Amino acid sequence: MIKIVHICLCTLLISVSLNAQRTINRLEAGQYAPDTLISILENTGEYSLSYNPEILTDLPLFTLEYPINSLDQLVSSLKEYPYIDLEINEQSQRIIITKSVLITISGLVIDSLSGESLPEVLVYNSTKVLGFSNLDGFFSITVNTNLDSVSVNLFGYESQTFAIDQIQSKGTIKLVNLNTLENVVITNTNNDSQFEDIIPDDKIRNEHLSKSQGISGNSDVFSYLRMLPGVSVGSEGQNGLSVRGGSPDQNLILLDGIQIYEASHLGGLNSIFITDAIKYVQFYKSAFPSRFGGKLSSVLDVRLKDGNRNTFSRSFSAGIEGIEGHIEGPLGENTSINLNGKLSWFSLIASPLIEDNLDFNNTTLRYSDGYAKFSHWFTPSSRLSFSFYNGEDVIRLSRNAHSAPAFSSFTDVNRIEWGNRLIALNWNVALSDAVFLTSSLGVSNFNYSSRGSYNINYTENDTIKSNSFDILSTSDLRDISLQSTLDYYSEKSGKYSLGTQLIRHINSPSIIESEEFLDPEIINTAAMDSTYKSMEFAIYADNTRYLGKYFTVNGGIRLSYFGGLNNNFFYVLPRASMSYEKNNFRVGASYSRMNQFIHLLVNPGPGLPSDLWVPSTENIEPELSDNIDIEFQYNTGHFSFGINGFYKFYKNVIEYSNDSDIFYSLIIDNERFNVSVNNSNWEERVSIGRGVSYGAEFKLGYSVGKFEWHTSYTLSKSERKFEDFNNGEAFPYKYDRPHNFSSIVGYSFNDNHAIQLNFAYGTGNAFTAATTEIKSIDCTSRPAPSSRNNARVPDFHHLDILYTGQKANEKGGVWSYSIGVYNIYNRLNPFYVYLFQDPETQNFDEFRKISIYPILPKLNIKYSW
Amino acid sequence: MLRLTIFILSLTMFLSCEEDVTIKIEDNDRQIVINSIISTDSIWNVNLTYSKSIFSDQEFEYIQAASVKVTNLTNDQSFFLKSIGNGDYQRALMPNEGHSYELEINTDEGESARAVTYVPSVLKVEVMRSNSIDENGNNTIEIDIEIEDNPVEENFYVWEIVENKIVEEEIVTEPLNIDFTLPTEFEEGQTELKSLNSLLFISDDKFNGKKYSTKLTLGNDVINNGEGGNDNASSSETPRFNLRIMAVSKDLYEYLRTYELYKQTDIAITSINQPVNVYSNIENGLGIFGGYNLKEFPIE
Repeated sequence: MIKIVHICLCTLLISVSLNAQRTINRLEAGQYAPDTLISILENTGEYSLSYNPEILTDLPLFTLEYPINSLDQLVSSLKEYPYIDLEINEQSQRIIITKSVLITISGLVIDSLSGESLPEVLVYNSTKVLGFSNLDGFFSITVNTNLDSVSVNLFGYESQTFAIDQIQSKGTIKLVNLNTLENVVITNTNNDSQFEDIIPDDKIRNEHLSKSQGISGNSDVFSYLRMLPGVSVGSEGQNGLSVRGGSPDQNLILLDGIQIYEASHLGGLNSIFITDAIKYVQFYKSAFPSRFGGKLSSVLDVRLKDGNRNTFSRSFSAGIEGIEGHIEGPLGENTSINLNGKLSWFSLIASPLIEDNLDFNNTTLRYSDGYAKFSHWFTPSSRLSFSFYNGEDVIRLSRNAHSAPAFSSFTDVNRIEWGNRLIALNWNVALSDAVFLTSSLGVSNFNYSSRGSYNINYTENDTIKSNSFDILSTSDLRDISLQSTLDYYSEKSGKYSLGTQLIRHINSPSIIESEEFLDPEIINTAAMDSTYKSMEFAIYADNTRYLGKYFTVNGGIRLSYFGGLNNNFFYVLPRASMSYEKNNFRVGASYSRMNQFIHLLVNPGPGLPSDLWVPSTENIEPELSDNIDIEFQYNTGHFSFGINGFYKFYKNVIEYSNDSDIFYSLIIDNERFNVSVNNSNWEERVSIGRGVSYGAEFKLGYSVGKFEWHTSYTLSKSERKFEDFNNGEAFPYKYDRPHNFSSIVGYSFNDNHAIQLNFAYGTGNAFTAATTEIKSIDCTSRPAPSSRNNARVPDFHHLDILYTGQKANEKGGVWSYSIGVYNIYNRLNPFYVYLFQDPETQNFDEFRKISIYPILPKLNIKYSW
Repeated sequence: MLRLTIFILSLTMFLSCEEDVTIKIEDNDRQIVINSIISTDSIWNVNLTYSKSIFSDQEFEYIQAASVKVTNLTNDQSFFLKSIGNGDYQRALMPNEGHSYELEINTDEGESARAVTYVPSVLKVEVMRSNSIDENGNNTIEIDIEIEDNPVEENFYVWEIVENKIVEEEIVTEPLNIDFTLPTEFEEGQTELKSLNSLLFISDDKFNGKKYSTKLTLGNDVINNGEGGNDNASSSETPRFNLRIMAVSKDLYEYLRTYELYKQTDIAITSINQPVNVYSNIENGLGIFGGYNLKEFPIE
């Protein structure tokens, strides 16, 4: 018995002794010099180490992600350190340590069928993320030659894994789109893949856009963005986007790298973008990369497809709004083309109704867009592309009457037109395995004109008299821009970007009023003396680093200059962001400073509205915003949840004490129009103030099998404050939207048929209701607003349903259709409200609202081949 | 069936609709409205009323029993105005040129309002008129004006030409809505003038402390206006036209300018446009408290 106890005690002692030897002093998470860790390993006495101490000099610090307190954990951690290799012989308890051989490999990732480059492809190995492909599908990674393999993956595509020696420098990796494979159901359950939201916030591919519904059933970029948290769901007839309480002119919208100033069509029906033409959309509400600047609220970077390099593909669609056509294909082995066009046929349907009901006898309501892109590859990693865009919107309502009781003839013309024209030349080339250059040269032109005029001829005392009024406002804005960005992929310190940008702005806002009918040919008043020429220049740099497996940081700076109108402005704009992503969680934070040099004057004065773009001057400093954002995301593949908090502080924001005052101060033909002061300088009619917007954004997503659901909700506040009016007190900004909610529910019956319900809700926009009446100095009475934006229009909401289907025919073509209803319960959302004045009593009786989109059908048929 | 479908589809489209709606206004409390313009040639007068809802059919409510205190900020003297009814408060004193004044209102119901203004210094202006003939052979009147601007103050000027008419044996003065036809010679001390309705607004930012000279021309259409005819009060006692030149306080200048803008634009009250914001310098209230100095010159 004693012997047995003795043996047990000895065994226990030996065991404890062994465990004591495999336990090390606790090491906290943090950064350590590699020779420190090697010394700790050596001091345990468990292994004999063989290495040259020189190989440990000048190596980057090793990041310990979590505390460790055992030898096994220490050895495992050291094996993950990419700069040394551990060859462990457990039998002899010997470790040979050698310096890793690192190589930099670059390549291109493209779609196997179309040859289209694939952005944001994840490149990774068994232990960590190595990098992502850029917008041109280019990636550059530094790997240990002793590593077995590298994998690439993009949601919706088949993952691929390569041995290191299989990846050739600047080679091309072709990924297969899972949609093209039979019997494949794409789910978010692949543990090796990126988790992706049903409605991604920022990296949006063409296939995501199909989830959006425009008013008439077409998929549309702006309709998609309005489903995101932080983006206003819009309001009746609203053009543009409002992001986190900002105005539409505060969004930087780029098409193949060149800025577009107005990207909406008639009354917010849809945007200028044709989804079939688009390869990729990047959308930023925060964490703005340093290469972007010049606007305060958001960046929408839209990239067109280069065109299918292997075969021609076409589509043609017709719907309630109009027709759309698309064709892309190869023009030789290394050249491709992408052509798209869209034309509305509103007038065919709307004009007869308007002319019958509103006494107009000549109406035009139309818009059109045309895109063309030519791309040529000198080598797989060197591409030159030429992009062209032309679009316009026209609203014309005119009437002529003769021999009415009160007059002998009457002519009334109302016209609004706007359009963009853009040319872009882009050259993208991999200069080496680690260096990528992107250069773009472009010209964009935005012009806007609105005209309201009438002429009455009448007889008085046998004399024919005439009374005329004509007012024309135009805005012409031309940008000539040049930008170059160099990306360097460092083996030790991540990705560096360095670039410059130069933009020449030419603005020509002007307004002409006349008591005679103006020459109809006058549509461009750029020759008048209201042309402003200015220059914008920026240098920017940033660095993105992957610290260990889970941590990513980005730091950047943008030095920005604006001048040319007897003024010079220079700004230092820092950018910083960090994120920690592990398992299914992601947390992050960012800070960005942005500025804006070109401002939009929106005058809703008498008659038609006018959009005039004007530059910063010595009296009107550029606007600034400081943006802070924190986020938390959780994504299991089936279920996703996200919450963001944001705070934006604005400085030098502009508001006009009297919009009509600005209007008149821009009148060109002063001799014909009376302006009230000797100084018609519009800059002195502007008030400069501050603003703030803050809030919380929530999103929920769930998908299982054939069912998917996505919801976003934003609770926010956006205010402005000016010393010059509203008694210096803060007031709700025009785009303040306390509650903004969007939800889509979709069910796929099978691969070919699906149904979707969309619901959108937003608090009504704030406006100033002058419902107080006071006695004036001359004993008359007049309305007086008690405070700015003291009222709200009724809330905006609608529920839509859309059924989609598709069917292939024997010739390989595919018919697809969508049919549904916009605004199922016929909610009469307000386009605007007005205070109704009884024409007989002159009393103000009540508010009335005007709505323009009641229940509407959605119908679209498309044929692709 | 297809035709019926298309017809029904068409009917559901583009049928804009108008209906009544209730709008919640965040604040619509009544406020004190002060109307008081002071000058060296008239006694103190302040009119007090309450604002009312635009939907109300009631007349404006006068503030009958309020404490109206005036403090001369230049010499620190103060006095009270007396109510004479209909919301008017008076005191048989005249403001002094170059002095600043503070007006404090306190009502029986605990409401209060305050404003500050000043009376500009007396104008140094010379006016000479002469008859002339225009290129069409018609009679015109040319008026040469020279203002010597006070370099110490920031000055604002409002000009007006009024016509005196005899209506039912009484002389009625009406402002003229005319286009001031002006030469635009951009030499130092001269600047382009513009008018709005009957008032012409000028600030001294381009000729501060200097002499400013210009010329106005009354065209033949004004002189021989058919509406005037034999009712024009052109006599040795009452001239037919008077040129009024006022030096006004900055507050009054902004008020008159924005008020003229309001009268000219006459925009409907909608959620799309911002209503014209007529300037007010009343703290915790609405209206205007301003000062001016007037010189009047007979023209014909």
